[in-house]
Amino acid sequence: MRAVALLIALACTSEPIPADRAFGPAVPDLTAGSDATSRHAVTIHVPEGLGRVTFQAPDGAVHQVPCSTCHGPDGLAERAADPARPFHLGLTPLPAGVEPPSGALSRRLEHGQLQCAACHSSGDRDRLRLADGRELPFEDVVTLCAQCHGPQYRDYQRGSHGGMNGYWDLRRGPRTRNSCVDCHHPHAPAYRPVMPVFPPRDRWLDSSTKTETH
Amino acid sequence: MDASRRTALKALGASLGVAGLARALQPLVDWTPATSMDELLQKHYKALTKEELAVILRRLEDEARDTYGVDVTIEDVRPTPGVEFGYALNLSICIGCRKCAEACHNENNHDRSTNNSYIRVLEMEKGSLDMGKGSVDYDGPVPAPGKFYMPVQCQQCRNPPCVSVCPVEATWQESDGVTVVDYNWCIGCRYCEAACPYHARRFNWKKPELGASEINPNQSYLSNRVRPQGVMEKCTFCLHRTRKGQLPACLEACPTGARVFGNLLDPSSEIRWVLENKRVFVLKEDLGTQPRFYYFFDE
Ligand code: HEC
Ligand code: HEC
Ligand code: HEC
Ligand code: HEC
Repeated sequence: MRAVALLIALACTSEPIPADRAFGPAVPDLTAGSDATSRHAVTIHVPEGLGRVTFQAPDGAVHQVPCSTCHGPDGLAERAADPARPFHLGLTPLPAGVEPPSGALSRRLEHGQLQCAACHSSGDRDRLRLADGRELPFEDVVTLCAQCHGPQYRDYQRGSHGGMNGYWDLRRGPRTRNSCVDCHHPHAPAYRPVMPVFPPRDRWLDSSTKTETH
Repeated sequence: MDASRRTALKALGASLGVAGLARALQPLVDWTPATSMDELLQKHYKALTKEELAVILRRLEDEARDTYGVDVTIEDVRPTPGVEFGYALNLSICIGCRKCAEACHNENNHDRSTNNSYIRVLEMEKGSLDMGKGSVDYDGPVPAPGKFYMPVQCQQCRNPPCVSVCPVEATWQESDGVTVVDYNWCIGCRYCEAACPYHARRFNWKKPELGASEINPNQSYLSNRVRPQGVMEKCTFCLHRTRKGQLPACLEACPTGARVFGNLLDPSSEIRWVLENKRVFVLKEDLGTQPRFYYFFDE
């Protein structure tokens, strides 16, 4: 799995622990000024197979290929555009009367009124495209989302959107952030309903907590 | 453990001295083989020296191995100077999937048969904030139309009613704001459970049922070690993790990113940003409990 380092920092300095606190495992004294200590890295998770098309070859093998496999100067897509190809099916409208082949995913672009070119570079399909024409690798997808979703991106940067893993205290360990596309599919970003896990079971001796709290 | 034991102990201890007390209690020990003499005579957590505590931790580890057939590490993790924990939950984001409750169940070595967890997720009618109207046994898919979801766990109050009602000082607030229980001192009277306006405390009606492979072996004395029967337990913000700088298990498990945790004393922390930039509120503010657990909606 690849990861993009947001903040690279030196290893944590270990500070002396006052003797009267030395009961448990060593903990640094955080009363010292915040700039006095170096911080661990925050990395943004990059989902497996990001920006690649997954398809099954006739022999059953599953392939994950970059866009340029077909969208190159000499690519398949450029040579013979076949609207019935399963991989983009549903994203692009089917010609009238054409039924999707069996096994094809039913996907539609459900992201405002956006067009493919709002996000994908037309010249180099292996790259994303910002509104000002600048291009980005797929790994930097958060920057793409950020340009249109300022409030969520601000919250994300401040840790109150998008969740995290690892350490709240970066002096003592690193942290991983989710990518926007870990939770929102870029083509249909609405968060999908899920089935809840872990129903509370009747606590066989404690009726007071059975259904309602009051 | 029952209420009379500690009471009897306390009264007797004053007049007999430790050796006499041990002899006087020998019959009682014989009746309850699960309770060792060492445990009966254990001092209050706060009165223990480092050496005494080390002995107790090793004893508890041995007991865990004997009872549950698994090697565990029980540490005593102390608060970090300059740290006071705060937690905030974004109700616009939470979808009620209960993954937090499940993670708590596993992290904190809860009894498997009851699905016990320190977190209850309330399904609430949009527009209402009345905890009493929330339902906990909803079924999916979530979020259901017209509903929102409010996970409730210990609010780590600055003014904890559960602490003041405890007759034996078995529960107290630590310097980082976490209210803890000395399970070996608790007499199981359940006053604290009744006093908590958030229904955040649980009573161990029976010895927790846990398979060896289900046990989280990274334990601490004041948090997730397997609790004895007959004592109170509660959320400790996963102090065995958070006092080492890690995030609580319920936060890491949240698939929606609704939870924010950090140090209230650090002006650059995520939790401080939320308090200063979102319109946060606390549950049952009128009671004056002053929770360190905050809720907010995105505007
Ligand atoms: C296996 C071959 C293949 C791969 C791999 C592939 N494409 Fe395509 N793509 C096609 C074909 C064929 C077309 C033209 C068919 C059509 O117009 O629907 C096409 C059309 C498109 C279009 C134009 C749709 C429109 O309506 O204008 C976009 C945008 C596009 N691809 C993006 C991508 C991106 C981004 C990737 C990589 C993530 C990718 N493609 C990977 C075969 C491929
Ligand atoms: C909001 C920005 C956005 C728009 C609009 C958009 N895409 Fe994408 N697309 C992405 C991003 C980001 C990825 C990489 C996500 C991943 O691989 O998980 C991606 C992945 C893909 C892929 C490879 C993954 C897959 O789902 O097969 C294809 C093919 C693709 N896009 C084609 C298109 C086409 C064709 C259109 C227009 C009909 C389009 N995209 C519109 C952002 C966008
Ligand atoms: C070019 C601008 C643009 C880009 C880039 C963009 N979005 Fe959007 N997004 C929109 C618009 C417009 C809407 C629709 C807003 C509405 O309907 O009110 C939207 C809606 C959404 C929604 C709400 C969907 C719903 O139905 O509730 C989410 C979530 C979202 N985007 C996430 C993303 C993510 C993640 C990315 C990056 C992969 C991204 N967006 C990139 C413009 C953009
Ligand atoms: C951990 C999962 C997660 C990550 C990562 C994440 N989001 Fe979200 N996002 C959510 C959830 C959950 C919602 C609320 C969905 C709902 O309406 O029920 C949401 C809502 C949104 C909305 C819609 C807000 C509205 O008012 O409808 C946008 C836009 C959005 N996110 C953008 C982003 C962007 C941009 C990123 C990356 C910087 C991102 N999200 C990262 C889970 C996530």
